Amino acid sequence: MDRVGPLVALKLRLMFRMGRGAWPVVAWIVWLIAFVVPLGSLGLAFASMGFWTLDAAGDRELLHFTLFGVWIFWLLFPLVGFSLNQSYDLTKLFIYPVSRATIFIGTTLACFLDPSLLIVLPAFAAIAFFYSASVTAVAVTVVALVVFLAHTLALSQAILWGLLNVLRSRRARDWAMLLAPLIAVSAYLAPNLYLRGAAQHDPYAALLAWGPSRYLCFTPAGVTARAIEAAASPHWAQCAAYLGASVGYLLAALAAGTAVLGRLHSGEIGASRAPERTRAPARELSPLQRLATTPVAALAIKEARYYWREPRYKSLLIAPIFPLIFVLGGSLSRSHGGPALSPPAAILFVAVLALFGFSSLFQNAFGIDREGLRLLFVTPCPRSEILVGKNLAAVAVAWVASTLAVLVAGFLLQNPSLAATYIPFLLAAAIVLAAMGNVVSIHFPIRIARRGENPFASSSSRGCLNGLISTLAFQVALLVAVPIAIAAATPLLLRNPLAYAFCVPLALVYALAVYLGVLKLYSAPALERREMDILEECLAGEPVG
Amino acid sequence: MTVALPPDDAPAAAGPPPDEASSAVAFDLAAESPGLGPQLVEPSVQVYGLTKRFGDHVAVNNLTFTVLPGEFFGFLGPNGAGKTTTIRMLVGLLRPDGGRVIIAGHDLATDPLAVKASIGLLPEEPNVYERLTGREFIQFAGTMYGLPPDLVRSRTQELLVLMEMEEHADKMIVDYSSGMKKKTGMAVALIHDPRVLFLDEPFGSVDAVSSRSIRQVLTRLRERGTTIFFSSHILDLAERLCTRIAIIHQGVFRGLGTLPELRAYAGLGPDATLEDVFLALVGAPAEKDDLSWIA
Repeated sequence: MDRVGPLVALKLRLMFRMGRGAWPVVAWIVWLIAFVVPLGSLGLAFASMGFWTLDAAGDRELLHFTLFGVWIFWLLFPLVGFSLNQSYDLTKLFIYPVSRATIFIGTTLACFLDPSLLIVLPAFAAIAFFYSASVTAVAVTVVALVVFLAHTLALSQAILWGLLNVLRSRRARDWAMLLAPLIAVSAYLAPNLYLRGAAQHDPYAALLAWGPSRYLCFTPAGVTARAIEAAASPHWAQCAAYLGASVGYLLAALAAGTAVLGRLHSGEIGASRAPERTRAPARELSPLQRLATTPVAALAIKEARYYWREPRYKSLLIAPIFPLIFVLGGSLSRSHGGPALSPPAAILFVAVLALFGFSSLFQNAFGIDREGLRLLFVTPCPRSEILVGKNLAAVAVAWVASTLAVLVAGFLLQNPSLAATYIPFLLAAAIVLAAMGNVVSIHFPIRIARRGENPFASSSSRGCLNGLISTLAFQVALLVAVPIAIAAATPLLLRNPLAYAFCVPLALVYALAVYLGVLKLYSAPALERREMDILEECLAGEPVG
Repeated sequence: MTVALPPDDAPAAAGPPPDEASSAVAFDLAAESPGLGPQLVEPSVQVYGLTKRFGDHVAVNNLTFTVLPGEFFGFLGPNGAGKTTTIRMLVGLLRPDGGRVIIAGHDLATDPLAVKASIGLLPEEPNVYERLTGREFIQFAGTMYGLPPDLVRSRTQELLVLMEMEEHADKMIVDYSSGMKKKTGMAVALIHDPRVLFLDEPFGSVDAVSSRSIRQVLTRLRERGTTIFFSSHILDLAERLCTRIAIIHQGVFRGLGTLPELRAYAGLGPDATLEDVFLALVGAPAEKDDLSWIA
């Protein structure tokens, strides 16, 4: 047991240092502001407002629901975080002469110091405050909450260890990478949507109608809630019974954790990784392989494959969802008398935001290649062809995805035909974005974190400066795209289909002229000059000897 | 050929090479390798005053050497000696602070694409695209080197067979072991039949069966005139394969020549192994104190 201290210290170090780059303090502050404060505030607001406004029956439902929410959140959240944080992987400790009990206690104790607990503590504080009928009641409530938390942490650990094979697989890591940005955006959207809903509807009505206490009363959250209620009443016998049940759940979680740890230790779990799905060797060429006959085509196809297979890129494909949420929000505002954009402006807004969501495809064309970038730059392929190959794939993806977003917005705003007229202009705009993005890619390449590094953390060596550069570059691209916007607006203003037939080719010719001009006169020669600098930037930290 | 050593007080900053060195230098290969007959041969690799600094640290200090066609040139040194940095500069992936590199007759500074068309590279950490399958990646590399599609396909298949990778050819590289990644990188380095091959630790993590196949291929390549620039920590292998060896330490050459020449230079007898020579030239102490608890 004398090694519990070093184990706690190790886990804390790994938790704090994992993938947070050269500015760990700044990264932690950003993480606290981005995740902990919004989610913690949401929990605090939901619990406090409910306890303040609801009657006793409502308080019971809210108490059950809040504890159950914490329980579910804490069981699921580490599953996402597992592949991102090596502090969850206990198997590395098995080579040392440390007992299972020591490992288990050290790990669970360290969980109590996990800063992520700050997300749930405000809700717990609200519970303790609103159930403070007496000093004894507060003390019992705190004990009940600590037992509940210990049970939740122990069960969470047991589930993690039990699923070790699955969680260590590449597919699980990919899903975690994909979920990370969704969680990040949800952390912002959830409080906003909640507050908006709270202003317009009674958010607790559905909770009362559901009546979670009926279904959850024998769950760990339920018995803890009942113990807290009984202490506030006060019905001490009931309270003792429910507390006893809660302790029983804790012991069961500890037993489960110990058993799983034993199987892990003996190699029954985690000895081999989950088998990856394998395909039979391909004898026939795929359609894509048949197309890849030139360097440009091969590169474009490679990029397209990467967009689909690399979780960081795949998460970009959901980017157009967010402007749609804004449009949907705008429509709701209008239905409630708030200001809203006209359909043409709203659809244009969606188009611009959807394209902005793909900025990183255009403005960091080399970062995602990582080690592969050396192969790219060691080949004799003309640099202009490298840029064209990469741009072809990026333009295709951005155009298709933004077209879908614009069409959906058109349907939401009951004006799909107007949305359809934007489609060719989106292509022209994407081509201009690619032209301007090449300049940024060449001069401000961004290192993308390696697999296993924390995707919540900044992957760049320049931190917030990249965001500024990206936004400025996008605005410059928008300025360059003004003639395309004029071409798109002209048929609408003139209400003449012939103008549309004239403006579409004009916009596309303009975009191609901008693209080829920038490529030939600037981007390709600049890439030849700067490819070694790009390598240094994108592969910073790689070993040299 | 004599053992070449830089002076101890070699300047940290090498200026541009003298004009006379800028023209392609021709060597009498007959004098080097009598079996090849009398002919003037242009070196595959010519390096003049190559220098690289990282801040105040001089990683590579004024290296000058040549490598002839068909040579298996061993480039050896302890960790951090400057081997990988040198190779990265020779293949155009790292900008030197001084010096000049001519590969296959093309100046790297003025005609980098011609140099890159002539070389194959296997770095210590293979330059792979992890989200492609092995087959896709080898085909991609072949296309990027400008090979016709049919040739890309046939060579890919041959390389997969040679590397014993057929079974795993359609799995993503991210799921490969480090040895499989190394073999994939080797396949990519070979697919366009380069005139000069740069291999940085090519046998690390590679199993014995594949290792033997790769050695045989490299030997055949060398016999038909491919230059192999080989960096490794496996001194036994270097001793068996290399026709000439350079030993680099702290960014400067400590010895350059054939093994007998290096033995003589190090003052060792004819039975001395390359390891003996290596340790003597990098100045490793003969014996270190034992650990305090191993008495």
